Amino acid sequence: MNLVSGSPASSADSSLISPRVRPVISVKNLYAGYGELTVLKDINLAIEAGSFTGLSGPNGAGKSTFLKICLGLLRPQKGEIQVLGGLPGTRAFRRLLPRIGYVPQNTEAGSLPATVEEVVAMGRYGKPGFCRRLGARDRLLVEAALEAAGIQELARRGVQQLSGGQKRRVAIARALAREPELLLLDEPTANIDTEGRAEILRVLKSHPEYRAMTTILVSHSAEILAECRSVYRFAGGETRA
Amino acid sequence: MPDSPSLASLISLVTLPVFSRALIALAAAGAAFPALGTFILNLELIPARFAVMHAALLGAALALLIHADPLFVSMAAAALTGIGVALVSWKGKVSAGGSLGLVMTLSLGLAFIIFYKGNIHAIEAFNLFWGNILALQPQDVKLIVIACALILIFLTLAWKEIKIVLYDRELASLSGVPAKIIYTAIILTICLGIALAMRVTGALLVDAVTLLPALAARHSAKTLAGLIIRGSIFGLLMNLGGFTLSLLLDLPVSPSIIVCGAAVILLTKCFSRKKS
Repeated sequence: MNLVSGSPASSADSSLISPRVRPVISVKNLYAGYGELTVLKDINLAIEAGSFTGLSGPNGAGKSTFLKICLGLLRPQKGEIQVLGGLPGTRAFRRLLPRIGYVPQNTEAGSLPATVEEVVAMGRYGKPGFCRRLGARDRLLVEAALEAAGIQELARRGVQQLSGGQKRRVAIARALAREPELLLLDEPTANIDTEGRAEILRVLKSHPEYRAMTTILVSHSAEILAECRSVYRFAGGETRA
Repeated sequence: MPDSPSLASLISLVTLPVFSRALIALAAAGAAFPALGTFILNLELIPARFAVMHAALLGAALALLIHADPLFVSMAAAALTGIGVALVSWKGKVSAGGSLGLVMTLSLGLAFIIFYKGNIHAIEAFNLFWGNILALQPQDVKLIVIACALILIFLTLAWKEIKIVLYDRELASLSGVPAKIIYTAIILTICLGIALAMRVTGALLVDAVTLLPALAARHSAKTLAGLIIRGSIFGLLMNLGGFTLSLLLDLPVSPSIIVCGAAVILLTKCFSRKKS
């Protein structure tokens, strides 16, 4: 699979990025996959700070794999990647993780009973430090994230009782509560109706930190991708600019 | 069958060292050990406790062979198993059933080889784990109270880290909390707690003091705090209720606690159904 870039502003060629703007994510000749299987081949891209970037492409093209590489959940087979100036997967990179918000594709809750408020508060857990309780500011940010996601009235409900769309919003609120510099969303609108998709887009764009935040989302939805400043298309075949 | 004792004679019975030691140990275990049950249920580690029990037996066999302290060696074996379980199950979302089965059978096999080659009567090693709550010595009570206090301290200090690890391990890792360390600490706590409970209260009572109160708490709790607090309340109710029942009706303590636990589970189940 190779990367095909979208709009001119987001070319896969990192040299097009102004040298004054330090990319939040820079990738050079990246190869990645699972065991013997290589899903991503020779990926080159640079994503600017504050951009709203979409990743599209067919299933199995490596979009989620790319996000996992960015988070350090998967190691590249070859090539270089820098996220927020760090190398994902290294010990030093762990210190950068509280600056990254992530909404996974699967937002199903585990077996532990927890309220919506508790789950959103988990977004702040990496901030105060080991064995330290959340402070007043953390609680304010949790409230703000609940409000931004439009789920304040669900705060005391158990997450297991929510619908798929509500669970997505909880996951987005949890990621936003972290005040991320970089927000990665893996198909945040999958299996959600048109109204729900518009609502999730509203949630993302209405967040106070929206303009300062770099957002990268994987999506199959044309209406979501149309809202992105740039779109990278992951597909099989040759790399095309 | 002897007559049931009156309340006055029951109180005088409880003041006897044998019974007071059992009461203190059961109260401490009732308050703290259900947290281990909550960990086991949420991390889907039910097969792990069998692996720990067998590894502890292997430790006891080794201790008899080398004339070392059986409790110390079996606790070390349980701790090593715990580290192994943590390493194997960390990546998977579900418990590492196959690996645990291997640990279980291999431990048993090695223990019997040691019994045979060391000319040790297997029953000697088994006796070490057939604890009796009425045969507790002051040092046993001290040990169990310290262990229970350590469990509660661990819960208090690392509350948010434990909560996120139990909720979702991947999310915990990505949050910047030391998820692998906390996960390993949880598994070690489970393993050492099980080995200690086996030695002190007997294998029969391990599930009664860990899993039954946690199961009862799951019927009504909506949060981890609810699970831990209700688990402690149900644990105290089961242990002290079962103990009182055994004195009143002249029944063996462990089965009385188990029966009491089953009754509490049924009641909480009925109550949660009625509520929903």
